[in-house]
Amino acid sequence: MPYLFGSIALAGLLIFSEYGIPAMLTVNTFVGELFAFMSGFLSASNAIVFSFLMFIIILVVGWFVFRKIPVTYFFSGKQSTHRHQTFKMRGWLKGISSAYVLLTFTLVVVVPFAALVIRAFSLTGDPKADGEIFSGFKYFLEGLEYGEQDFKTTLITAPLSAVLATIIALPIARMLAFTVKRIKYMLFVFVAMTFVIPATIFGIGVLMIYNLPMFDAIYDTPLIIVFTYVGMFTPIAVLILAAGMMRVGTREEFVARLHGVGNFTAYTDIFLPRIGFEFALAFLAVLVFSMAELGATALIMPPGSSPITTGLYIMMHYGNEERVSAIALMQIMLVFIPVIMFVNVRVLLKLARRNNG
Amino acid sequence: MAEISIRSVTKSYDDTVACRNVSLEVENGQLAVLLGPSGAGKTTLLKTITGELTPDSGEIFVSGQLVSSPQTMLPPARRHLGAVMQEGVLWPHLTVEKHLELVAKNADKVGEILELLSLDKLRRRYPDQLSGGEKQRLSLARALAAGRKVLLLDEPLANLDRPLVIELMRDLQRLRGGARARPCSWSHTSRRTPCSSLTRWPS
Repeated sequence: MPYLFGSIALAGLLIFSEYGIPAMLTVNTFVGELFAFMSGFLSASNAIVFSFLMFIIILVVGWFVFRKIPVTYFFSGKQSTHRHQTFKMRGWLKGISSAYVLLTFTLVVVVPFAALVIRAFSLTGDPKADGEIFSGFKYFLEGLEYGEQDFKTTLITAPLSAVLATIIALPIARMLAFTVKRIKYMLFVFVAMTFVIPATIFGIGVLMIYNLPMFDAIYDTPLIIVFTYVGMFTPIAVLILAAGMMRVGTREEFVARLHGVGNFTAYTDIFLPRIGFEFALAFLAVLVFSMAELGATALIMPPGSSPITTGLYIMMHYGNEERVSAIALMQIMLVFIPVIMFVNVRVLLKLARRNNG
Repeated sequence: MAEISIRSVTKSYDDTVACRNVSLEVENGQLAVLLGPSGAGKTTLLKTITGELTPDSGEIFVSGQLVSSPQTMLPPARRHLGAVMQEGVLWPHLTVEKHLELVAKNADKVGEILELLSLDKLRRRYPDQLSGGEKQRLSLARALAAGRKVLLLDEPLANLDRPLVIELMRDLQRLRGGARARPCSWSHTSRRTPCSSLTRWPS
């Protein structure tokens, strides 16, 4: 029961903090209003006060949520300790379950994706009016031309943020995984809570800090985007890495040191390769989240350096729908390519190792 | 001078006392065996010697140097011990040969040790491609490659079939004969262990 309540509260917090979808649908939400306050500079001080109040509420709710949910254990794809026996389902129940999964997948993934494909390839075009039914890659080429700068910004800022966040996360994750129980517990709750802080509130915080004169050199450059992503997504990397570290434990490293291997070599040759999977996963997660971030990016992006998410957001309001769909599909591909590469590299490595043996 | 000297060591986990006031001396050149039933605290004692656990009270000396006490914990590398852990604790991402190369002080010895423990044909295999006995031998080979004077073997013959037990005991005897290292074995069984000193626990 506590897990059920914890999950509901977590889902509630995540839905509350979501900015991108309500903004696209032009639905007013609290975080959307905050964004409007801040971006329009209508009342920055109100926005700050609201953000602070929200932050306190999230701290209180988050404390109760994350005490109940051991989120760390969800983040390693290699957990093998909890293998449960599977239930044997009756035929009709299996049919209903499959239909339910298929329906959910269709509504959440297939329908939006199909809508984008139909628009991007102009499959509904009127042949008499447009002179064509299938526009081919016309809108994709146009999208590339229009969004070239935005794509470039994303391709520079997202991988850079992912590298920095993963490296910064390493020592924090080690602390989270191996410190004494009490400190570990508190650290875990605070790291996990950063998940549910709305992106707009984070963006407001970043703006307040980097607006100071000493950060002028960062404020007007894409570096502010990188710093924002690193700040927002390092906790994700921390949780993924900590899950891997807990899986591996310290004994292998200890045995190496006992047999005379230096501390640094034991760390680089024994410990790090053992969490290689989680290391790549953390990088990938930050990369994907950075490529898709909108709420904070829209607030902090410097003039002339918008990533593709904000580029799309602007184009959606003022641009051609087919072109927007084509760019959205390209962005999806941009996210999928590293995911597919990650999966394939794992398979190739396994094959290579088997042949080697 | 005793090679390992354990003086009144006590170690507990929360409310459970694993070792209570244990004292033990292992002389230089001795092949000592500590026998005791499961849960007697043999592994806990070994862990306090290697430095994986801190004793609640008492002192442990290796070659005359204080290595473990509630106030002093020498880093594991400076204890000059080799160990074969109960669970093997091998490095799954390294081949048999790499296991030895990483710890070997003298790289020329790697081939010799692999041959000695009949691992030379398995040098390119990973731990998950080895049988139980081969894993035990690899663990032993690693401890030998590190060139330590004292070897601690925790249940070295556990979970092995009889032929493998005989094979490993031969290896141990061969090592003793070659004066490569002095093993101290922590075991819950007395299956013809080739020892020069036997301590039963609780004594």
